[in-house]
Amino acid sequence: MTDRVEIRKIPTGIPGLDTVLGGGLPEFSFNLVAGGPGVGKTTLAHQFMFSNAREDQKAVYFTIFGEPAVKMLRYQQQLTFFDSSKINGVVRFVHLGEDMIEGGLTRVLERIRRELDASAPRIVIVDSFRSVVRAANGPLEEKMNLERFVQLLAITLTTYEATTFLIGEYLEHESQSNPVFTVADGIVWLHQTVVRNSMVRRVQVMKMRGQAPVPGLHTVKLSDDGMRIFSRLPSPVVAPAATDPSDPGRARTELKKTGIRGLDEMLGGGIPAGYSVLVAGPSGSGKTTLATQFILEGVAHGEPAAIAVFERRPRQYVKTISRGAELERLIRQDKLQLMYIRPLDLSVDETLEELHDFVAKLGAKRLVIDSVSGFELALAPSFRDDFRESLYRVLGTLTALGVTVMLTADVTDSFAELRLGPAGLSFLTDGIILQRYVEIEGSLRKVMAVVKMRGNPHSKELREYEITEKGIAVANDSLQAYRGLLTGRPVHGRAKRKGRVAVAKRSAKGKGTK
Amino acid sequence: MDRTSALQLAERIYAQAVREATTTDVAGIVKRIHEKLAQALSPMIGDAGFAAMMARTIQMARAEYPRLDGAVGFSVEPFPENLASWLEGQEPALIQAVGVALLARFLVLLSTLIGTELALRLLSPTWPDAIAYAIDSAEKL
Repeated sequence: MTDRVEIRKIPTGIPGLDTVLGGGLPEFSFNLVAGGPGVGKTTLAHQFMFSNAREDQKAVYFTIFGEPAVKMLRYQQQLTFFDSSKINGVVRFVHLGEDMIEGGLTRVLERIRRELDASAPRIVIVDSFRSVVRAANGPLEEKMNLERFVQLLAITLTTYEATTFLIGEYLEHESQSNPVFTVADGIVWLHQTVVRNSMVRRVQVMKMRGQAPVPGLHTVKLSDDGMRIFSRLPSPVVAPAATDPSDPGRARTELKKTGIRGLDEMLGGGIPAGYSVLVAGPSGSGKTTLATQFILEGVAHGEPAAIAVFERRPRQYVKTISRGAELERLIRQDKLQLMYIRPLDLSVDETLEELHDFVAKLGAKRLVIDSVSGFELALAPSFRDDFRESLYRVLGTLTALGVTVMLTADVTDSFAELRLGPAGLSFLTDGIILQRYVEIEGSLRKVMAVVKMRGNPHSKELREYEITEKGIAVANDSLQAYRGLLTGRPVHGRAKRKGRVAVAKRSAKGKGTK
Repeated sequence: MDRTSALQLAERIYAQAVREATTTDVAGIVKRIHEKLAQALSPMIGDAGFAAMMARTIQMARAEYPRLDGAVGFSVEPFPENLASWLEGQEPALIQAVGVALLARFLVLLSTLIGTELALRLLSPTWPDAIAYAIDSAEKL
């Protein structure tokens, strides 16, 4: 007799929750759904119940002093999962309020036992369990009684082979002293926070005996379809070995050309597949143009590609960027997908899942996120605080899919310091391509440098570039004739300039700056 | 559920109650109907929930039967004592009319709150034939 009992995991019927729970809800588990008012506790329980209730798995929903049953039925039937044909069939609602008033916990337990005997439900929900606790929250004897009640209830429901949800309005500090938190096999805590004028709901699985839930806070969305959870970490995928820049023994990585000859030279052949690269520069420096060429180059070689935009709608986006007409044509030919993520009040988890699913479904090999600033602005304010960590998760998840990600980021040019990207973000990406304005010969010109490309040899040069109708054209060689380019006011130095801008063919020979 | 449909359903339920009754006591029949109504709904909405709906029903029925003033008042009983004692002093025809009107108003209130489909589903085990007829009639419309 060495076989271990296999605990069946019941699908909750709530999109995303099974992932967060670690595969579903353990059968016959005794769970607590806690949180403040309006966070979706009842919706969670109803969605689980209606999704799972059937002839061989009946459900009983006990109400006590919480939301009156008539009102609960009135509002919950607005949700698409509510199936009134199941009521008084495989789903029964039983009110225990009078039992509680007249006979206290003992009577409530007796009534629950009677109902279990009568219909042998496999799903039991008690709403609100908090009212039971409040009713018993008197002298010491009654508190003891509550502990005993919780123990008996857990044992009774488990022996009746019921999977149970107790619903309660609890504050977090109450978990320290409440016996139900100790007895419960699982604790699902729903949170609601308001930051400025934005409200965000989150769920945390604080405990789930026998399995490993995804830790942390996950975004909750409530809509007419009920509850949906966006896990902090979408379903794990196996990362191709070549995509891990920190792995010194990795195989020679495929290099993704950007489609800009001079830049590819600077990159040592291209961007390693599965890397994330930040293209940072001031407004008008050609970040989107560079990203567009990167995408067009990929599509030209048969690679599925995608662009995620935030600030502008797709139609507007392609109309306003260099080579937008080509993108439009590729979109029509289904060779390129443009993903518009609607702005404001987004959660990182939601965006991450959307991007993850989008890339996975398309099998995209190249992805441009244009721009990081737009992404940050699209988020609800409470997610902007930990944007750096969030972006880290986004990049980690996406690059694990094998997609090469290019992000654009607006950086204010400051000649007093070298800025490699928005504060704190440059560390997160595997590579950085920096664009800057410099003053040469009395005119504003643009230079580009590959600041880093983890584990891949690359040029350290600063090269001049121009934006033409065909996109970015980078000079064949560096601006060696100048010193102090990063100050914005370079001076013509010791060596004469060897390179020329490929397109402009402008000679700088023998000329210096003031 | 509109008032006409509710009244037709209430009349059908009353007719069934008369057929099943072992007495000709009209007040007793009306009381029995409301007790069965309470039995169908109280397990779900609680005695207090049912009593609140019943009190509201009587209140609304006063527009039709002003003499019901004497029956108004909240009671935790499924069939309020005030209503029972008011009915005792009335003519059988009036008792029947008030009983049917109260049931119809209760059905309208219930369907306003939780929808006709769910309201009929909850009452179907208690009056299967009458409810089936009501559903059938509604589908034919």
